[in-house]
Amino acid sequence: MIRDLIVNAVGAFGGTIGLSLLLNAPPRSLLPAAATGMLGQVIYVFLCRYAGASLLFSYFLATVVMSVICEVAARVMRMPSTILLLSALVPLVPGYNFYAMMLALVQDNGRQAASLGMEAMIIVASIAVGAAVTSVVFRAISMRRRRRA
Amino acid sequence: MQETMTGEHRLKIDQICRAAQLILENGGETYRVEETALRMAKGFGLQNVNIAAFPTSIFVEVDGHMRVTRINRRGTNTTKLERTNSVSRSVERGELTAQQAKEELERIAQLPGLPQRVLVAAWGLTAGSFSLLFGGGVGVFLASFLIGMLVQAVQPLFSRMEMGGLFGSFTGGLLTAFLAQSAAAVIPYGNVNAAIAGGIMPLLTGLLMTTAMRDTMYGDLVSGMTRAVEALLLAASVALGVYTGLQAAAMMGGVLL
Repeated sequence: MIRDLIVNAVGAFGGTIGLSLLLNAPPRSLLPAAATGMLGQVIYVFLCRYAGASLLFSYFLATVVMSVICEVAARVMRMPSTILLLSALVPLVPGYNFYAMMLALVQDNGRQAASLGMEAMIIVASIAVGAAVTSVVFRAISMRRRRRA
Repeated sequence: MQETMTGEHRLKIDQICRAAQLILENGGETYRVEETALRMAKGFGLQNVNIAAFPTSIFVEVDGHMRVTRINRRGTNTTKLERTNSVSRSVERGELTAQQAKEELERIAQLPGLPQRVLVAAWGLTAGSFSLLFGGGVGVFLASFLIGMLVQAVQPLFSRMEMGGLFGSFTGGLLTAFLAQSAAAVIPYGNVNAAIAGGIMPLLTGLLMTTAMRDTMYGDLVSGMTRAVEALLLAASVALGVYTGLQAAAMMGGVLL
């Protein structure tokens, strides 16, 4: 288990840095984004493979933790949180699942394609809800603070 | 009765459209486009501003004057997103005049991307690292690292073409699968599927899907649907490319052996 988690951490860290460069991310966002992406992947793998949590819940919780880190880091670093989150979410977003669905379709395997596509949609939804929930809460907090000031 | 627009007025509206365009072209969500435009309008002291943004076009209306901007190029460049955002905030605080904002936005639009050799290394790193997530070992890491670098090395050929996105994904998938499969026939480095899955990660548009979902949740239904269709189409072209590459490698193997 520890070995699997470490391999995942290394892969997610490298992958996030590489893809952030391809997305032309600001250089100072690279390391925080990669660290957050790594943490998110480790949380997801741990929950889903070793703690017996459901797929949807694992993705949701990992995204919430990552979004909270990104929101806080964004305020410290004075940059929009989406910039950090876009890079950090890279290991979790199910690009691969949509590809697997399309590959199943190309190979005339409709039944498998349907189940893969369904799974991909659920993952997208739980990531989007996780990110949205956090961003709504943070917006509400910062608005209240501004009104008080 | 319609008053004629002054030059100053026109300059301000131009800058609002320019900022909105920069955000849409570089992968920002639709609500962010509208938020930025309204923030700039407030800073410029314009009232009665209406804006509607879609992934392919922006409509801005100020006091009966209408401006339509067409978006032809869509990619992701978060550096440009960040810089545009900070310009809009400076404008809101009244720190930038319309003329200064114009100069700053022009500078952002002209920002060069990273040099090709960095991109080649980044693609290799992405491909190698993600192959680890799909169950690859050290051998697979090295193989997909090299294949990834080769794939990015040919990418500039497509970037200026029409339908470059679709064609680039197809060719990228084809090259990755073909190289991974044929390399495995020469040097058995391990799990071919992990190498392919890692290698195509930079081509896949999971981010586009997540943005589509967020747009939909913010009530931008049209943007959400169009982005989702775009993401599915790109995934389909990658899958077709991979399938073609695998078939080609199998055929080549049949001829050679």
